[in-house]
Amino acid sequence: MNIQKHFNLKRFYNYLQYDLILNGRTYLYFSIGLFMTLFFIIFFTISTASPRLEFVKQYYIPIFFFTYLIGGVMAIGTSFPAFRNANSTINYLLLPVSDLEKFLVQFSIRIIGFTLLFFPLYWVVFKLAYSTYNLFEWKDPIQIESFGIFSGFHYVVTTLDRFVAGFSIFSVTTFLFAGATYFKKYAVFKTMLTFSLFTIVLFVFMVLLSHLFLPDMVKGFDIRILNRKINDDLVSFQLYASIFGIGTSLFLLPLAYFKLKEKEI
Amino acid sequence: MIQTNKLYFNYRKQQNLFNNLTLKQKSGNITGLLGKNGAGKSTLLNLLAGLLHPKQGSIEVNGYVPSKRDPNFLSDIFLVTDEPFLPSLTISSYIRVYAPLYKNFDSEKMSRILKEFELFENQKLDGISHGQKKKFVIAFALSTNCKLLLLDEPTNGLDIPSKSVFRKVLVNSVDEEQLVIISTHQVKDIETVIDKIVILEEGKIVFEKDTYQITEKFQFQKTQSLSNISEIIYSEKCPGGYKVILTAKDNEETVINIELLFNAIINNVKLTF
Repeated sequence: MNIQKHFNLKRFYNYLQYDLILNGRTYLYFSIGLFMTLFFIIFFTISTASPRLEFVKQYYIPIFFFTYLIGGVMAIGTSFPAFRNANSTINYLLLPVSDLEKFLVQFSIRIIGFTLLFFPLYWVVFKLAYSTYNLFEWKDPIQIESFGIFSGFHYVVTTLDRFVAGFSIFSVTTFLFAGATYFKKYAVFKTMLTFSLFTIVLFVFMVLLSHLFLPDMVKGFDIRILNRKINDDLVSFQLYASIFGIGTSLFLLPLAYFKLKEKEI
Repeated sequence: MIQTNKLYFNYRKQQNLFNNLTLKQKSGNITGLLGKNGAGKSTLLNLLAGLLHPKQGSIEVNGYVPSKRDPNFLSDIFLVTDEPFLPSLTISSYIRVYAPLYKNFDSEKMSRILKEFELFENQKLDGISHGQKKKFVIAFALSTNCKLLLLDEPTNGLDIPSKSVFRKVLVNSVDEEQLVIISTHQVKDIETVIDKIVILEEGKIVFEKDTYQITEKFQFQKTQSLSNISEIIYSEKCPGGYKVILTAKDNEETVINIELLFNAIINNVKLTF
């Protein structure tokens, strides 16, 4: 097999440069928009946070995941922007780089790049919003102990929990990524709609299973999951969530690649 | 260089556009691809570029299967569409970004053609007219030195002087290693540059001849009356008389009137070679 046909470092570099020059302004505006949105959300949260609750655990981490998903919808759901228009699709498909290189550039910028940017950006914005709040609210400053970029996540205790959380998020991002290759117009909207439909179907399926196997323990739309202990560190739901997360990503990433490969105008 | 074999293609929920289409084109030609609206000219160009996949049959371009979109294949073809996509960049930035992707790109040739088309490197591509955009893309396409150039309505939007520059630039830029296929309705614009004519009708190639073969066998004339002329193969009324196709005699060659030739073929006039 000729590897050069699928991946050539020089060609990849040239294409990466092409993408950054062509879309650099969009990426910059997106980063600025994300910065401002995060600032307002975090500032508002700090302003209204209950001092009785532990801020990092009760606010910082949940808002992190919420804003990461919203930002991810905007950044990852809009991957392959050329496909939104017929003329730019022609231009994109005819660029003399391989499908793998096109895929990798989008994956690197939209998923890896966005994630790598989001962690420090969220932390920096939090620090800035906290400092700004304390600057004005000197009579009643909220006390949040200092923490590093990743040390705030120590509440996600075990490695397996982190693994499950990571893969769950990754499977959502790959869903958005695959949606961007699949749909032409209104890709974000259609992807979200499809995601909602899948969620509803999964929910109904779980309700049906609950009624089928545990009829005495559920009513109406209740879902009952019997969580069995597999070993000291692992319960069955964690295993299920990990397999589901990994399986979804392993299915959706190749799907996105083959959709790109088979793309027509 | 181009070989389509028993090609079948249709768009979703539509009748077959191509039924058993077989076409072979060698390099060193500038071919005019003609046909009525909806005959499938643009579709054929898109199939050759790998933007569409055939339903049946095969296509081979420069030894590659276009639909596989091998990067080496893509760096040796260029499709100029009627509405080219141009990003919000200056001409010089565009060249800086796109040129490294084409292995045989010739910067000097680009500068020369830009000068001929009166385009300047500091001009922004989203601030120039449709005709200027078209000229820029044609200049870039020719500078890539691709083995296959597919031009879809290249003269649409070009002003009169630019059309003449286009013909000059095209003839001067293309060498024996290259094949240019021009799909157009503006046949007058390409009359003097093409050396082969291919006519598509109802999904089939109904005519395919070199221009020298046509001029050897036929004459294209304008006359006030048909009464004194014998051996008229086809005629059309026009202001001041008739345009006619006659059997060539006395080795006297005339310029091909492509429009007249096209109409004759579409009207099923038998042209014997």
